[in-house]
Amino acid sequence: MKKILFILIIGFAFIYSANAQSDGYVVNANKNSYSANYPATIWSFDYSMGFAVGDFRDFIDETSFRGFYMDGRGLISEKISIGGAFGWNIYDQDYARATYDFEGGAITGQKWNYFLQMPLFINAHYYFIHHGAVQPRIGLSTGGYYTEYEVQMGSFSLVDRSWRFGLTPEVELYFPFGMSGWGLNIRGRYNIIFYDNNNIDALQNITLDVGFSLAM
Amino acid sequence: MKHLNLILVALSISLLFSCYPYDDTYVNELDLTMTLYDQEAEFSNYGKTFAIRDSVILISNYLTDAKIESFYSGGTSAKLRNQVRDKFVEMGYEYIPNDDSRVPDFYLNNIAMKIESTTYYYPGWWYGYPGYYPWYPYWKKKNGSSSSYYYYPGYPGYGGGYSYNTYYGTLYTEMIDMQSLIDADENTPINILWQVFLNGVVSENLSYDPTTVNRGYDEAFDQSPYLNE
Repeated sequence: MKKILFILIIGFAFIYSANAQSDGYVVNANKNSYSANYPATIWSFDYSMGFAVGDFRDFIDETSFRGFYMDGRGLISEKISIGGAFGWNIYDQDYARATYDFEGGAITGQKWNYFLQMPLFINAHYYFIHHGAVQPRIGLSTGGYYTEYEVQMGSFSLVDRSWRFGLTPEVELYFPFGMSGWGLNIRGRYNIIFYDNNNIDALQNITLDVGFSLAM
Repeated sequence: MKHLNLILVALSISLLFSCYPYDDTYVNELDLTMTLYDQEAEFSNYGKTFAIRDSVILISNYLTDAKIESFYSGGTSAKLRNQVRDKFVEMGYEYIPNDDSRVPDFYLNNIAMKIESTTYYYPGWWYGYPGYYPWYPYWKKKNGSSSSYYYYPGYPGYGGGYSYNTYYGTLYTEMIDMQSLIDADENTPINILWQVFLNGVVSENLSYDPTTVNRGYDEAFDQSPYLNE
């Protein structure tokens, strides 16, 4: 785990350093003619919703309305960017008071299932166009997912916390606000977390992000 | 443009802070009823008579001796004990008083546990998250506990935190094979056939809610159809 964190930190540092060096040149060059060129960096801040898929739906099938995602990228060419991202999605579900049998006994109570995923990604994106009212992009993110699995009954919780490796292909639409550099972005991510525990094999969910991007 | 940037930055930051995990839970939602039974016991071999200890044993980590004494002198122990007795009668069991010459099939022993637990939290998104143990009390906003201001020097940047004193109550009943109780010695342990745990968040004082206890025993009997075999 420490290795993954180390690689991510080095990755972020590298991207930041690369952008810092190129900012002066690219931003100045593009300031007045952005639509004809491409930005050096793109920052996004999104509200994120989550939808469980596969085995995960057996644990929680309610939509998650609690999430956030932020993404920073540096373009290494007109079509390609590399960057990093961080965010979270919180899934939970309440179950009405019910009885659960186990060997040698039974327990009755209200149950809460809870799952937190907090990705720390490096990513790469492909940009089809850098002008127009709608600008589509595709990307792939990968890295560590911090996960918290919890089942609570009464005052007691069964908690399993771990870091997991994950892969996330994504599709993004960017709607620029004129020449301001800001724009609306809508992003769909398919998250595959290599999680084989608690009767969930390869935890999957779809996240829909809506927020603002700043291209500089 | 400057204003637009400011507004969008503010909106973006507000997204970040709009998603903190808070849950509201009511005290009675935390009530649990659990039963355990001796898997080797043949319940159909037993009759339906029982005796019950004349008082409830009280165990606490915060009540003073005087308070514990008032549990008995104030009648709470007798009231609780009689409620358990009446639930068994309601379920078809015959009560045998302790001074009766007949030997019952079961002996009931009741233990009430009142435990105070304190936890600390700090303003921030991690509030409400569970701790580091596989089984851990999960503190909720509405857990019927009292709160008080608390300063934790390890987090000077946050200017302090808060503490919760939460009171948990467990009423435990064990149904003992009466013959095993008679025969018990150093080498022969008593045989506990059935155990009931009613657990929940309770008030700090000695009062208890008869409705909650009533529901708990109804659920315990529903969980245990083997008792009527």
